[in-house]
Amino acid sequence: MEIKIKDEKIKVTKPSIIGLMGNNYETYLEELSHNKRSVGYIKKNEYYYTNYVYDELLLFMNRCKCEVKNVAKRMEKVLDSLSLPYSFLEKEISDLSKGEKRILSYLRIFIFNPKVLIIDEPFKNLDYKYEKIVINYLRELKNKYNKTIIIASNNSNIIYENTNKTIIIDKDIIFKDTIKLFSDNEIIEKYNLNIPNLVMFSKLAEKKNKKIKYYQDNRELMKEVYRNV
Amino acid sequence: MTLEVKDLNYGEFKNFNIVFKSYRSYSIIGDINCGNETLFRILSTSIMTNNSIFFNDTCLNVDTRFSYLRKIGVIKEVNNNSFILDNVYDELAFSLKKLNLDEEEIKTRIDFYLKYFNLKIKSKKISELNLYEKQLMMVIMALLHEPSIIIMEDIICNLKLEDYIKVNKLFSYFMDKKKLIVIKFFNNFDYVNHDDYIYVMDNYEIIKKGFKDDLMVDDQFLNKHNLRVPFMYDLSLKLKMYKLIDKVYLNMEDMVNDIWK
Repeated sequence: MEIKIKDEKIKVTKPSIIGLMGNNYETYLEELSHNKRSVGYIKKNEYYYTNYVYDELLLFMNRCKCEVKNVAKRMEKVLDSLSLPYSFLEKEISDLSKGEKRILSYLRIFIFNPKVLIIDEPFKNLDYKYEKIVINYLRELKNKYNKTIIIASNNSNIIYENTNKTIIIDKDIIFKDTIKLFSDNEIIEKYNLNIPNLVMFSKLAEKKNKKIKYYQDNRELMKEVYRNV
Repeated sequence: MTLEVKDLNYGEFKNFNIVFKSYRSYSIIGDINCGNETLFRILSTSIMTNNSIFFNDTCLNVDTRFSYLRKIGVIKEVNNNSFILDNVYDELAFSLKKLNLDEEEIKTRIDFYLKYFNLKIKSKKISELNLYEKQLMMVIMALLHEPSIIIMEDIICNLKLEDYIKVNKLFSYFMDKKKLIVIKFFNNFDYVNHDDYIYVMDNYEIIKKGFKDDLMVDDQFLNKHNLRVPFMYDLSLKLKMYKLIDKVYLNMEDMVNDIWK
């Protein structure tokens, strides 16, 4: 798969969750999402066109012209993916909280099952429970169904903890393995990135002559610290 | 200044009470169905309720709404309907002109905030601004009329981290100088300040309150209510469990120094 940003072509050789950061990255997300048939795009601020969740999902299914033989079954499946009860379909959109609306945006994308998903601020308005549900499902889409997922945020902790590769958009474009990118002092300085918490810990340990590997999960980091004390 | 919600009965809220006092910053936190969004709308008067909101013992109702609105500054997430005029300066000056302030005073106030946030947008059209600049405009618009209370929803996704820190520094300054009350609404603890007084909401009720440092150490309670323990508290609690440290550290360097003395 090829991602084109600022006339630069980035080759993605295997299904990945790719982070995207940089000044005015929103502009490039619009460009990336131009192919409506194969790309699903969740914007930071979404609009809803109908009054009920069920109608919204049905509308989206029709809009995307996806062939669905059993609509009810498909809806049940996407609800299940985010651990939602069937009764969620009956809810009025105006009654939903911002977090629930965000979940509805995910449902709309999941229902038409695009090859590539682009999500601007994946955890916006979500609580911890749904952050976990969403990221686990995105990982499942990548691992089981070979989807490519691009998550955009300027929060380096979100990008570091949840992606395999990262794109930084600045005057030039940089595309690297996420751990390599965030552990590279030159890149951090050049692109004025905030150092993710997990990376910072390993770097501080390094100053004490302790070699702590760069982990993307704090439980793994803790185990490593325990082994090194 | 005191802002108080007394025996609120609206929708899912049953006999709900909460108090906010001067010189203090509050965060109201809960999961996506906790009811804090409705409370935000009630306090910012998007939803009008009867005889439940009191500011300095004056009850908020149709007659007192205008004086209440002059006392509060509401910071919402920016959207397509956030602005009514085409130019940045006109939009910023709009509410101040309604207060009959003279042109020089209006200009001084606007210049102060644009300089503080290092924004060179005074002569721009709003359509030329990026999302961060628009969100900072929303912050400035809430502060320009010198409110006594700031009511702010979670806007961090629309700001750069350094700008968000600047916004909070400004709040702290006004809390000290002008007895400001700041009320922030979140779905997690990531951007709560250490000096914030926190109300945790669940199912339209306050289920816990206290300062951040007191609440964070109860990770079982936070997990039960779908709230993530912030990184340094989480790290401290886990390392304490492994008996590698014996207290909670908020400074990572101090923590690392303690582990490898």
